Amino acid sequence: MRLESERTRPLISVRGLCKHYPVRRASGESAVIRALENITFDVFTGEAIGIVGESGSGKSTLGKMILRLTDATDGTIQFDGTDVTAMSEAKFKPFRRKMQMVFQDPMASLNPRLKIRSIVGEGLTVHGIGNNQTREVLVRKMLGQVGLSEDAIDRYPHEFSGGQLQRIGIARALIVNPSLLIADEPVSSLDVSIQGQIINLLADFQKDLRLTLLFISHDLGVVQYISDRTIVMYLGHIVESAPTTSLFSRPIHPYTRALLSARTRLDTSSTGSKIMLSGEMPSPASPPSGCVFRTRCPYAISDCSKHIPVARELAPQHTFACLRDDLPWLT
Amino acid sequence: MKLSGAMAGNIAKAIDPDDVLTVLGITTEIATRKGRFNAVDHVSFTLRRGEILALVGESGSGKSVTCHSIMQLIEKPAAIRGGRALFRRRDGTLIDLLTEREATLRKLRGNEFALIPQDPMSSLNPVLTIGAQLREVAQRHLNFSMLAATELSIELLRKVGISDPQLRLGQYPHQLSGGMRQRVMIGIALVCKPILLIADEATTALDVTIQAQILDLIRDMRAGATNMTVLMITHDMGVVAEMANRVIVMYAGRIVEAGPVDRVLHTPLHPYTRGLLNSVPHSSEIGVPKRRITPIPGMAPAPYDRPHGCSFAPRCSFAKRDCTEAEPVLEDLSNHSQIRCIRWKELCL
Repeated sequence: MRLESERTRPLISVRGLCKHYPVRRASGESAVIRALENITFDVFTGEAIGIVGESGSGKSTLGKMILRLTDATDGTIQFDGTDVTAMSEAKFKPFRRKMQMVFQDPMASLNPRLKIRSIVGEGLTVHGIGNNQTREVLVRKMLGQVGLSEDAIDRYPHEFSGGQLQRIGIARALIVNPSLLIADEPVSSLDVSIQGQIINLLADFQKDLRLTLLFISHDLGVVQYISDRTIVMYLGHIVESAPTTSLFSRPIHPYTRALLSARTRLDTSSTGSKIMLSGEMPSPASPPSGCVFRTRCPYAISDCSKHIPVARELAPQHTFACLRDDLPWLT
Repeated sequence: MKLSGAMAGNIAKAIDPDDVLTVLGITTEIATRKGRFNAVDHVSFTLRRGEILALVGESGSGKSVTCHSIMQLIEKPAAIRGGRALFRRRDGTLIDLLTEREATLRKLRGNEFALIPQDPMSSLNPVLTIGAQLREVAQRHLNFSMLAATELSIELLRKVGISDPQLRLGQYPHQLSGGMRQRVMIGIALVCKPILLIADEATTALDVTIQAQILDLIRDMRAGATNMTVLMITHDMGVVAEMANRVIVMYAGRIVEAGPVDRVLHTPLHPYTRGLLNSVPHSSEIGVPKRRITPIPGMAPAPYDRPHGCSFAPRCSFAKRDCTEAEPVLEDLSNHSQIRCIRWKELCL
């Protein structure tokens, strides 16, 4: 189990993070896309956090912002106690080594003109780790750890299948020995039989290397499998956050409940009636006032349009953002 | 061309009036620089009226090519090399879709049978409004007036869960999100209430809450007066479990297992089917402990380089020497099932 000191000091601490994209419409009027609003959460060392939500929920933007691939509009991100939100690129470089990313589409995220040697070894070069010889040894070792043969080193990305490319993507990320790995939909472009191989590979690395994993996915089954804690997002807001077992056994927020009930299951005998949401997620350029979910929420009342719900604690680590105290499953 | 000749007459007689589609030994070849191969190899199945049949398999298994062959949507370098696809029309006559004239097929596509394609962006016309593309179907096949076609379009958009349908009718595909475009394609496929709906990964790209709406809609269309028959291509076993009556599992262009959904999901016979079911974590219910998933090792063989004997043998943990010697036959079992594995009986024990 985790040491107490690690428990009290998070590896990542996000406070009030906002991301607004100014856009100009064809008509000439300007608008603001509110991709993320007031996001607050902590991630502790060695934890696997799942971030779920539908397209447009802001989950990918959140991953990119933690890596500083895009700048925050407001709020702070602390990495291991240091505020990195507005750090210069030069100062941030050592932190980059500590946080790596695995992307959704391995074919698009690996340079087609580089050999696997350069792709996997790039991080070592950038961060000045080792010399040419030791780098070669490290790359070969890393390829073995992700289940590829060493002769992959002299080949190009197009010579590999999607599953193998994702292994290369994982090798590229892990070779610099990061403490945080952000995986954004790492298996959704892969075939079913290959998905399992990659999920197990990530889960094993997470345990063996005590890696902190931020796993972004729309696939609830995969998130339930891999993560200790799950954060549910809707239209740029965190609506619920809880240990994975609690979230799946006792979802509180009406959106979480709808999301969980909408997933398909192999065991249809236990499937209760589905909660059908009407309509679709509103545009982040004109989010509803108050609670962003109220336009689709079966339990919305007039107050929901007046106040933005703040996160409330149901149990330790289990928070949800809903105004109502009288939800049938709460009482 | 109507079926003619003595043999065709016998086939027509042998087919039950409630069989909407009878596929017999369909074989489609693709020629590539690396060689020719059968993307679909002697695939046969029957679809009964009102039934939902799921076609399951990975990329390259031939499930999409099977459906495109049935609809005669095959282009070079692919070519249909054999087989029949007998379709029972609304008026009760039987036609072979594989030999039918293009002019007749044009009248049938989108009308008596319809396809929801996988990629909505490349299927919608980028320079026509959503409304024009929906109305076109109703005006061409149903002889609807402009006004009636517009009303029907609005109703369909509402059914597929698109808010503000009047506004959407005037918009172009690029103004819609991916999920909305996919739902427009589903709307277009449903305009004429087709007898047969072929859904090629129709909900794969959609968010789960939207997927639930669409699956619900397909279930509705199947029940009641429409009594639509559905051929559903998917890789999601959860969708199969919730929607289908029967399932066919394909691997490397061939059927490896077929049967009623409950039987296939609860007692899969083919090692590949078992592997598929064990290789992804399924959202479990309360209190179910985490079971480690056991993925299928390796990957599907390149189509022009399929192994001798059973195509799955190199990845199969139960493979013996016999498995690589001859191609196993597809055995018919008593429980409306089929299996292509020489060891299935031993593995069942």
